[in-house]
Amino acid sequence: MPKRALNVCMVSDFFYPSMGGVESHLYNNAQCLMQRGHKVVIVTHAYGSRQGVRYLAGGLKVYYMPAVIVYSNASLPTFFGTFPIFRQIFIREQIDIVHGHQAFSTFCHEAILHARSMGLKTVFTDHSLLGFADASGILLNKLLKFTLSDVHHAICVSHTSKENTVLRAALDPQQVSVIPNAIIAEQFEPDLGARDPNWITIVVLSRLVYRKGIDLLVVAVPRICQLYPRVRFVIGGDGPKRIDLEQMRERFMLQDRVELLGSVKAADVRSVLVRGDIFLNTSLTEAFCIAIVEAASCGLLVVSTKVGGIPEVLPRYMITFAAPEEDDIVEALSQAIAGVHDRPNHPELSPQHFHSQVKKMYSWHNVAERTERVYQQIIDIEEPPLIERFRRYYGCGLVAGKIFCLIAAIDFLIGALLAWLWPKEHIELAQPFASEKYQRIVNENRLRHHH
Amino acid sequence: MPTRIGVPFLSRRRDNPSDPTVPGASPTRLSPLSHGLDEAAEGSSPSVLKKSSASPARTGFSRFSPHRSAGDADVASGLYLATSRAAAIAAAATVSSTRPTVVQPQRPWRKLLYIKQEYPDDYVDDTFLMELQKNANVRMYDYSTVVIQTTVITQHLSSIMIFISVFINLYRGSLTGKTLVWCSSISTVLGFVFWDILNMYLRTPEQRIVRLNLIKGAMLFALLLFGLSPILRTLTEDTSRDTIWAMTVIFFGVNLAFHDYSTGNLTNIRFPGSVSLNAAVLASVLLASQLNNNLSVFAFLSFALKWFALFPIFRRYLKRISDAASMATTMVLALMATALFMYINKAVALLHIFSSLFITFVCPLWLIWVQRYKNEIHGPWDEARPIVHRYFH
Repeated sequence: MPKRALNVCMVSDFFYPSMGGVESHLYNNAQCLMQRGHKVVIVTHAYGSRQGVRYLAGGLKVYYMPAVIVYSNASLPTFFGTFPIFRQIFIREQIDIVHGHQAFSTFCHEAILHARSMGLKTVFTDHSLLGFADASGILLNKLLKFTLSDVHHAICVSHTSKENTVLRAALDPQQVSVIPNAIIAEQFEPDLGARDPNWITIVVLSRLVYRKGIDLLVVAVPRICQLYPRVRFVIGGDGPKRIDLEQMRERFMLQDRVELLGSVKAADVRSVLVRGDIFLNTSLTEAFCIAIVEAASCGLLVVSTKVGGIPEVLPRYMITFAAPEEDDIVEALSQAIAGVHDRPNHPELSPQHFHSQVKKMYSWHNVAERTERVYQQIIDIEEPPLIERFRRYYGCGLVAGKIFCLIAAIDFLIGALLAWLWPKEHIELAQPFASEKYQRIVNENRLRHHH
Repeated sequence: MPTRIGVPFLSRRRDNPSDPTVPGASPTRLSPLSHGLDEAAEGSSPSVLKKSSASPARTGFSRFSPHRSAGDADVASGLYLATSRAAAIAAAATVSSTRPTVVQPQRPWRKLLYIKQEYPDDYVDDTFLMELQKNANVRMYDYSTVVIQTTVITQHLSSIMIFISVFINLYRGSLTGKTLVWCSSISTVLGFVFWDILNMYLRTPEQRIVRLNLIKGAMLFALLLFGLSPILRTLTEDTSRDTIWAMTVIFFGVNLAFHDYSTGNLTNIRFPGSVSLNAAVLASVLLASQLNNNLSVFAFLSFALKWFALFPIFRRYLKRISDAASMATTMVLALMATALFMYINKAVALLHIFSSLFITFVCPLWLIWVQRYKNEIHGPWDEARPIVHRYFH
């Protein structure tokens, strides 16, 4: 099959300037897809004064759409309210594929619904795991079922995440691909000079919230400090559990051995990581966990709880697993501390070797290549008749199925109304980004800097 | 492959995972791209014999993939690497469907992300959902236990019925405020005496609660209520009586719904018990405002507070020390409610009896029966519960 340049629209509530796994996935994946000859635009909601259309490096066009934010960066669900603007964007940018990210994102669900009403191809990427027991899980799973019952392909970041998504949305597992996250390995190179040879430093970098298992950290730190007088902790990140850590530090008088950095900027992550010998992750649930890959790339030995997709991420010689239990974490950390002493005797455990291995394992180019493969796989699928879409929605549940059908039908009618109000032919097409000119200017600037 | 929890498509697979595997395959090959290219060549080179089976390659093709057919095995493009591998097998199989065909052995799939595997990204292995646990920690109920547990609900239902019948009697004048004050005060004192006797037996001296402050507080509260009763009596003069009845029913419904049935909390009232108590007090104030003299209002409201704030604590205490005593209380309350309503409205009395019997004997059966539909899923994606021993605390 000949390779075709595609126009892809990635939609998520979560994008720069907010920071996290989804945000970096979107940005890096888009950049690499553009390098592979596709056009990518990103649609997200306005972040404060960051509104309207913006261009990021390499001509990545980002639409910051106006929206009301309800909870932790997710916008208010309006069902049909965003249809006109999404339609304009899809037509203006001549979009072939709409790629929504993250189940918590309202924009993602709405964009996929509208794209389907317009007959576009859709892909959904799930970045997190969700249980089945609590009320929010049940509600969100229903919503996910709605979106995914008519999506062409779903992508998950780990095999565990795929199992979770397939169960949550009752999907055909063959419509779900596993494409892991990646890191830019060049930005996470080891620096042997940065660590203090007098100490064994354990680095923790995570948001200080319950889900990251900070309760385990709070009890493990004093025990390790008592067992090993030459071990210290560097803890980066901020959150509600920071108080617990501060109290622990006060109580056990560990001010000189436990350093709390507060929130660490993305650009400073490496400089914190390279100070350590061991990276500790105590998460209680994690679909992929980019943090441990970054740490391994910086040459640190990793100790992590064995939850979610984490066992799939790193080979056994880089990581020591622990159950989410106090004793087991202390045990695993003890093993890793012994491993640090033993490390110079094994060339295959050297930080440089870790880095080169991680570099081979994960790269965004690989992610983009595999994402592209998904796109090429779905792009020529024939559009099923409307009644087939209804049939799929109807199967979502006794009551929910009917509601979903209703929503899809209204959306379809609104689509027809919009097509009558603003005919497709009258919508101005976006000019392609002048990448050659951009390249030329970038090069000129670079030369000017040199002189 | 058995079907599991509503995922019937698990039995359909694109690749046949049980392909016979033979050692000697090029083990160093890592790139899926080069593998896809090699595969086309090796599809026809004899290395292992296998009975032709085109079906596994076809069965997995779902509704969205019309292009993934055997004839479309354009492997050189390298786009559908192992998918096309399956297609190549299928193509080979269709060409020579009667004689044994030749396939390339394949290394088993591993649930890992850091290695590049010779399988497509959407490959579904036999181990898929292997770690899924269904109904792992479901507790099966025992009928007699559930019957005993339901007494807390029937007790509360009966107590509300008794309370309403007391109001109706006051309203009709068949019960005077004075009698009610005496009755409720005496029974409260009796309750406290009973409690104190039990305290003597069951608790150490340090745990005993000092009553002196409590008596002082109660006196102050009673005086305040007495002073306020004229205001409370005229509170809803301008509101239609129908509205009052309707609102009372709603608030008693709230009281019933939010009542603290589960915890053995004996000292204080927390959410959602507080909502329940507030609803009951509000309903009582509304009812009290329909009474015609101040003493009745005072008597009724003081009775309401004892009945809804203190009596549930007493019942919980009783349940904790003895199931038999709790059962007996339930019987007494239910019979009392029925007897009181017999004089007011026979239909309501019968309804109360039937609903109590239904809650006590039929609902447990119902609960046990619906247990069979329990579908609790656990797996590695669940949020782990951190286990903390806190040796230092």
